[in-house]
Amino acid sequence: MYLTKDEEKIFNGERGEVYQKAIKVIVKVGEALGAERLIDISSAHASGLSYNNIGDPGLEFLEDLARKGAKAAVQATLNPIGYDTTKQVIPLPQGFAEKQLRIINAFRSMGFNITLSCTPYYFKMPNFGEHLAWGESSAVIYANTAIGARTNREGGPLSVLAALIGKTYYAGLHVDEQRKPSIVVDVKLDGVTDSTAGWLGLKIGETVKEGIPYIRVKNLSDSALRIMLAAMAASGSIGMAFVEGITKEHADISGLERIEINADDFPGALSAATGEGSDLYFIGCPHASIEDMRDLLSYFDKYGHVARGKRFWITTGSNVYKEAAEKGIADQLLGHGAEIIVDTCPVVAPLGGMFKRIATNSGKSFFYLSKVHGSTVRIMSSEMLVKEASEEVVT
Amino acid sequence: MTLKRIVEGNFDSEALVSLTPISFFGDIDPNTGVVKDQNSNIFGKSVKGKLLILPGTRGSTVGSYVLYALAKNGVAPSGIIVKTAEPILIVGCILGNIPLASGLTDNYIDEKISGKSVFLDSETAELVVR
Repeated sequence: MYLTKDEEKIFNGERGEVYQKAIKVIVKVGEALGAERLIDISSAHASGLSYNNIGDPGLEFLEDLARKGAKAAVQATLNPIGYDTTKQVIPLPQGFAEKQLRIINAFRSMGFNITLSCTPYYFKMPNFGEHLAWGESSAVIYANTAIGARTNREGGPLSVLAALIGKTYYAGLHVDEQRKPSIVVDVKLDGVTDSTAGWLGLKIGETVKEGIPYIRVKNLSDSALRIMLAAMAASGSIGMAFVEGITKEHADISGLERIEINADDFPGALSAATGEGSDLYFIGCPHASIEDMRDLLSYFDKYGHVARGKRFWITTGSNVYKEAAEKGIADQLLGHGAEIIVDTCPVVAPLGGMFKRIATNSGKSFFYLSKVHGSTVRIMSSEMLVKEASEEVVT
Repeated sequence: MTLKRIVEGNFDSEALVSLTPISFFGDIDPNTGVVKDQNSNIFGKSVKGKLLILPGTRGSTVGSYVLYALAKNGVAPSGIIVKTAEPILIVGCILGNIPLASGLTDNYIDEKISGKSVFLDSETAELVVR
């Protein structure tokens, strides 16, 4: 790989062991992926923050970097952790908070912004064409598809190392030639609600697996777009999609394989069967936007207060919460019995057996929650979630 | 087929073949190495010490930390061979020092190879099933 003189100095250890380690790992990954050089990034976003998910090995990796004096060279943000730092919502296992705090402190000493959200684009929206090194699969696919910024699906540790040198390898989705659709997906549905978006995303991820789908779909809101993209980045290895009418980059689809997805492909999603109800209803995977909160409020105004014995969580970033509070939306949602939770989400919090049955509009959460916590999970639209959460349980 | 070694090491072990891509976060228990994905053909089996053969990886970018944790906890696969390697997998294998190769062809994604002793021939870069 070609390195500039400055990069060579880092590579040879002239700026210290920690930066040398960072550039060596990045060069090695880049070489495996055919990169011929590195590229400057404007921001990094680190995933793998929850102690529940990275454990002692992850904690020690990060503390080792911090102890050796590593500092971020570019704006760097962080994914959610295992709990809400502003209030106690989840009973934490013994010693959990202390370990989680050590992870945060390691990042703080490295100069990362303690954003604790999977939607870094709501903290600072990247520009079209900017190069990034982002972890968090749902943020990566949104950045590439909806914003037109460029990032690979960087593994959690790599985005940290990239932040330290302000560079990543120039390969994959950074390169024009690699940002081309590989398959056309025609979605034959009249409308896509947030719940069908979740199923649709899971189905596209499972079917396409890797590569870049060119998706033709009607009437997709930004909320449904985020849900769909997050789901396909979970069930597949997809870092970018072209969504007709949304993705700004030019795409040539002549001669591509074409598949069709219609209502028969996910019968369970459209019937919205309610079954025996859930003990947790939640939206906010990816973290809720201010529009999501507004929509929810209109549903609560329609259906009323959360019923006894049920809980309704809205997980969001601290900045979106602040905006919702300033606009009076937060207070009204709380008044309806919803709980607004920041800094964390059900996927990364140590929920243990706290909830047996979870209902959500998120295809991504559907994919992970049963595996991570052993819960039974149903997908419903946010309107149906509010409706069912407000129904009293008849015993 | 010629395999490309991405992380060097010893690719000589008992094979464990996953027919579908794995998300190391969610699909594998980092403390035990046991496969948690109920839809997987290797559900309930441990990847510890096995040469894990699979089409590729999917899902969460936290997967790199899970690979690293598997290595630190002594329950990592002895090596991993995939069709195509994505950054999440490569970084995890580099940090965890787990031998990794890519370029596998579809005919090796076959349950019949599971349990057999396999090795990567260093001269031909072919995967040999004993």
